[in-house]
Amino acid sequence: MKRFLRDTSIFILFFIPFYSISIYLFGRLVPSDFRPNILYNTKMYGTTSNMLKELRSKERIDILIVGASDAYRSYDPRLLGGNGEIIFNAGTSSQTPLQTYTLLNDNLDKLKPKLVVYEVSPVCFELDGVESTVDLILNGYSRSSTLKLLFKNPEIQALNSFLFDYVDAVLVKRHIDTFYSVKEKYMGNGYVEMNLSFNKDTTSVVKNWNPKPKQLTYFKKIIDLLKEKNIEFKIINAPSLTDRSYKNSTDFEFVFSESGQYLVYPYLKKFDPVYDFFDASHLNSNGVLKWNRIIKDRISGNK
Amino acid sequence: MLFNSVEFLVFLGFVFGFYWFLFSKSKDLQNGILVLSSFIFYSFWDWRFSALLLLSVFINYFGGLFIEEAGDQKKKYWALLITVILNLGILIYFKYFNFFIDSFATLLSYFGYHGENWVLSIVLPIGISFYTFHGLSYILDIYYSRIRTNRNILEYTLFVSYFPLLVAGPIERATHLLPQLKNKRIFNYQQGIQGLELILWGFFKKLVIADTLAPFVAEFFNNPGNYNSATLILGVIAFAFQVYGDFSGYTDIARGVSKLFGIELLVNFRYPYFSRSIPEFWSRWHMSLSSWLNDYVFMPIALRFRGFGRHGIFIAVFLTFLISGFWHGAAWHFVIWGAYHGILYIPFIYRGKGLKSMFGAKQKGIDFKDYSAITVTFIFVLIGYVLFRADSLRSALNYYSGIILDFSFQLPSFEGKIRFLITMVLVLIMLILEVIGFHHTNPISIFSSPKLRLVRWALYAFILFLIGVFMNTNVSSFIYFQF
Repeated sequence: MKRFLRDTSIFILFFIPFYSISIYLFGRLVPSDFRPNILYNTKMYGTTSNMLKELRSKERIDILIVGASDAYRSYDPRLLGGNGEIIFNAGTSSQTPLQTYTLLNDNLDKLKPKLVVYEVSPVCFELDGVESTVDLILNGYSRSSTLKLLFKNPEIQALNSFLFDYVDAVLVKRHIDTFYSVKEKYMGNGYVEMNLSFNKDTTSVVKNWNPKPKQLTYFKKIIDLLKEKNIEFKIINAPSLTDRSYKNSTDFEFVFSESGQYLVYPYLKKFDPVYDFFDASHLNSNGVLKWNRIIKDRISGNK
Repeated sequence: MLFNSVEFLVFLGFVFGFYWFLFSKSKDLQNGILVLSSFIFYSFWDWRFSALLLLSVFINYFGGLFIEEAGDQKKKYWALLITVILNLGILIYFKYFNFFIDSFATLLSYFGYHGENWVLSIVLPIGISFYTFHGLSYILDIYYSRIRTNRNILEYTLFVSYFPLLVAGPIERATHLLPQLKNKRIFNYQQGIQGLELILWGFFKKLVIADTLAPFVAEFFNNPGNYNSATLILGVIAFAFQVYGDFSGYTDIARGVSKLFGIELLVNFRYPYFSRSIPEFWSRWHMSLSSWLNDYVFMPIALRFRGFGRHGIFIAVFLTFLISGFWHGAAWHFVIWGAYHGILYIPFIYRGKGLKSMFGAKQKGIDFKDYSAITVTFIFVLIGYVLFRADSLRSALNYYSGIILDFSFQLPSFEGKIRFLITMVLVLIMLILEVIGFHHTNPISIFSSPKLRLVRWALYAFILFLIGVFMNTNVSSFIYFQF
């Protein structure tokens, strides 16, 4: 048995660097279509990198906005401010409750926000959270935090990205290229603005909302964390055409409202499905303007 | 708890630690921890399933005692009959009740009677077909005096519930497994290494081959009307490797895990797609089921019909395959798939000296000189796979018609060709390694010499790398769990 355990341990020590370097070389040399589980430059939003850099530099924030792309594309701190508050949008791509919890847990003590606005996107409760973890890893979020995320959500694509990033930054010392889309621009304080375009997809596919139990658990943990730290919070769901196509939308309305701080508005009828959206899930700058006017008093005035 | 889950790896680590470090003093302690672990493992699906498993254990344990202690042959026969009826009763209720009711209702509808909806909402307990066959082999072997009853209930419970084989086999035989449970196991380095190698190889076949082909196969079989005939043919070939990767991968993991506990399980696959005939295919595919059917179904029927000569053999073969089809699933497409294989036996029964044995003689190995026979056999297997994979008889007919009636000389056309192509290259790597490793305990033990340790480790690392880069990240169950 001793020999078995010894050899297995030595093999693991041999394997970890072998695997990490192979992942790095394969990721660098092979086109992305031929390496399905190494995602380092596919659909990664460089704006997250800008947001995280800015977030690290902040000493204090009055209103912190968290959530997925609906958050960083729909809440413009320039439009929401007005009473001198510092508003910061920490939304990231496909951010699920698991990553929201990690971001809040890591930053609340330092930033001490008076209010947290949690933009809840029902679809993010159905995701495993890999895309968001990879997004955080590759855009320079703290390694110890992303390592914790990996343990909480062990997925091979996230692990490969972690190893790739580690070899790239620590051994090769050549940070991976950040990918920016020409269609969007980072405007500061976490807000990302899309070039004005209009939604072409107004057909809605009726589907069921099937949240992952793990995401529901982390949603509850987020609420508990905010209550424990005595931070006021509001849970909001920005206008989205896809969110209205769920057959069982009452289910997520129920989950969100259970927190006690869910703000429901009969707002969707105020938005044009073509001219106020750039796709079925996201508002364009017309829609953002309207939405931020509606929500401003509720957030900034804290009503 | 699926083998291909992080939970299982953690569970395995704990059981391994407890087994060798805390419960290794006696075989009863070792058997005890394995029984406890097996019931915990099974309860991860639904704790109520464990009660059913326990019932099966008690029926066959006490059934075996009654059969052995019955004074005369008549009493023995009655004890056997009651035990078999109890076993099959549970299996029929959980697996076949709705099939019979549904078929009966369909039959009545032909006569103009449309009855109530009698179909019940019954959950199929996972692995029930497998552990029922374990129990049946035990009591039948006692009845035919091949073995004596095992009075140690812990050993018997472990024989039926042993977690590596509980949900999808191999279907073990009392003569093979029970003797291993009677002695304390001592850790063997080589056996442990072989166990890890088998687990690694099984994961490669399941995660990289089977799971990656699965979405393509599902798409082709769900929407055959959207694809040309070449794509549909490619879909059946893909299914052949999906089901092989899935089931033989599962078996490799099961055998590997068991080796870690010092217990050997039966070999279940021996390069089936290199068979030169259909009887040879059945001697290489799901071998533990084939030998079970041979001993407990084919032989008794063949003996009963021995007066009919070759016709009697055909009847026995045909009935055995019908039962095999029905065992795989309570649906007509499985029954017809079984009948199809029974019919494929006709030339082997009626030509020359006739069929030597139900599942072919002992095979020597792989001989590529017989490539034409290998190809023809594989094509016949593929034709049957359409019935096996389809959701219903109607779906299977749609698939066949998509290949035959809409035949055209167009190249395959579907989304995700690059991923498909990569997977087929990996299938080729799998086949090459399996052929090279034919004479070894598993395909990746080809560099077993201690001098080649670094080469061996590089191979392990390479396979782990392939898993890490190409595995399908959507966790999916094993195909044979539904049987």
